[in-house]
Amino acid sequence: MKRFIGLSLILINFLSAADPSGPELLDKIIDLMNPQNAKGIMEQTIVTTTGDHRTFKYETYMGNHGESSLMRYLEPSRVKGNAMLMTDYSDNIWMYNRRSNRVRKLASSAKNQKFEGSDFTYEDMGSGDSWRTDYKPILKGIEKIDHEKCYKLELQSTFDNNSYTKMICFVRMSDFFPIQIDYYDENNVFTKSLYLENIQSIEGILTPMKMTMRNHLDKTETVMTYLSITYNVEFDKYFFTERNLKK
Amino acid sequence: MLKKIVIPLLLISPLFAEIDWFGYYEGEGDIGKIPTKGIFYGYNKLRLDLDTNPSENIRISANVIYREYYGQTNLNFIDFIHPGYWPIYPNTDQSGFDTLSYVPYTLSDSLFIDNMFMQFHHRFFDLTLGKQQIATGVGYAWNPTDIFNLKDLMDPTYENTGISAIALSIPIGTRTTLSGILQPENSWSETIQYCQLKTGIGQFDISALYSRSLLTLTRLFGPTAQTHDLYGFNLEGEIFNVGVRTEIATHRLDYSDKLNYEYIIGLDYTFKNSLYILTEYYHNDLGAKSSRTLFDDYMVYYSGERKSLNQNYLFTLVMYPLGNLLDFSAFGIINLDDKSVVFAPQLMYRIFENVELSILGSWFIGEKSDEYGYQQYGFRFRIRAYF
Repeated sequence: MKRFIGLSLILINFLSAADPSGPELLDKIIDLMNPQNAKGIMEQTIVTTTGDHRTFKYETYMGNHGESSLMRYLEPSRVKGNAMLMTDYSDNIWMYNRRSNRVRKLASSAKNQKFEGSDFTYEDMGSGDSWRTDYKPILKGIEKIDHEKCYKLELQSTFDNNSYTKMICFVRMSDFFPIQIDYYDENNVFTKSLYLENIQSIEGILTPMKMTMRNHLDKTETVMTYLSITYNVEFDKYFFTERNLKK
Repeated sequence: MLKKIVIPLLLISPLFAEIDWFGYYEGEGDIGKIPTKGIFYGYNKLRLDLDTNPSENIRISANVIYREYYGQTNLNFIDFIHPGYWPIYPNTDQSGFDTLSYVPYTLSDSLFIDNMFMQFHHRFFDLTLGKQQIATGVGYAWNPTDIFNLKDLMDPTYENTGISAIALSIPIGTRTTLSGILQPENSWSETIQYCQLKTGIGQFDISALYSRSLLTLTRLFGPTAQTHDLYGFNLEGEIFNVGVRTEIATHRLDYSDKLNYEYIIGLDYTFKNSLYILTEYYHNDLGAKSSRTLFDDYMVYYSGERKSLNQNYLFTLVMYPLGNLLDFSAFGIINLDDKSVVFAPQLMYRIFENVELSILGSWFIGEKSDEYGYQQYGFRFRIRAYF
């Protein structure tokens, strides 16, 4: 099996004139992964180094192609009702604690921190469109990942403050949907990979129903699964505000 | 009056929607050492919450708390204060003076409704009626502009007791809100009146506020009351990725021309290795100068009627995650006036999905007559299981 996977990863590295450029490919990825609006319920399971599982369930809302998002915890009881609001592609983050009714604004330096102890950072959850300005996309070739011919797109950091020096996206040639993203930290160490799986067409929009972030250094992983999702939803101008965060 | 509105709504709410029941059990044990004795006490606490939405725009929520104490529940307030501050009073036959050495402080079992409110959301406003959580201010350890709550410096994020109030919030645009809060008392002059205009500019949230209340100060020989006007300003945002939090409160007592200032300046930053540092400088004109601290100042401070004993303090907190389930943190509070310090490291372990275990130690350093110099050390064990 390992040999088979190894063979499937052999670099094919042939690019033709018909292939998109790096920036074009990044535009396609961002457009595909950030539909106008979305509303869903997600389950997030964290597998710790000791093998313990911690499961969260929350409502998630996304607006204006990922510019704004709001998450409200449904389970477990420990965090039920707590919520998080991100606007301007996670440049502004507010956390709401329901028991104390207190809203706290996080500084940008907290963006690279683990979201509820998971392997996702706040930035991973809400960066969206900012990849266009924060990273330089370079098409590195074509590779096969699990039988799928994929473009290998490298995103190189253009700012010192970015959490990652580079990211490598493996994007399906058939529909330009990414199925794997490898992350390299500020020391250029390969730290974690995001696997987008069970990609389904929901209301005509490609949706990864399961996303697994695997941390190769800590040997932990976090699995996020959509329990339900719809894109046929409209939000009024007050939806992504502190007022709604506290509802 | 509020209870008359909210209780019937609670009773009929099952007819309209499912009630969500949840809460937690909390067990705590505290050990402390002061020069004259060791102290041990603790409690078992059960909080039971219900929450329901009879319609899309209405939320009804309430919670009941039962707390049962054990250990040394009959304490002497005087034991925690250096004998140099103990007050003297004329003895009964007027032949001289005695030193007051006993002020009882009892930890009593209690069952009470902590919060009970109805929220009504309209397109143009949000209205909350009843006993509710009111959280104002942006500071972590101190909130000079918060006239509703008492914060325990040793546990600043612990939930507050509900405030019986009417709160109205009117959005004006997406980041601007005008809020008003009334906490009804026996008369209008005793009723707390509070209004705030909050807006967002870029990465900053800014608010200006005004409140009027009756400030009661507990004194050894009877309380005093003064009209209290507070003009406040809050700012929360960041400069060069460093979080900045500032609160400024200007106090005017009994219509006097003299203004007293109370403020915090706070910074916080998270390093890439996940180390989080927060620090706050606090100044309070209303606090006593360290050389002039009296027993009454301790009374006022411990009663929560003033947010500090003296005038200048520094609070610093560091937090670092030791894996997914274990967090280490430590904080220090320095009384900059008398140079005494309390240092408190803490471990927090999420032992199961809904169970948290925390252990806090505290060491007090300073001269015996200093604020943090008289007590010696303490330990707090706490377990909380949510359901």
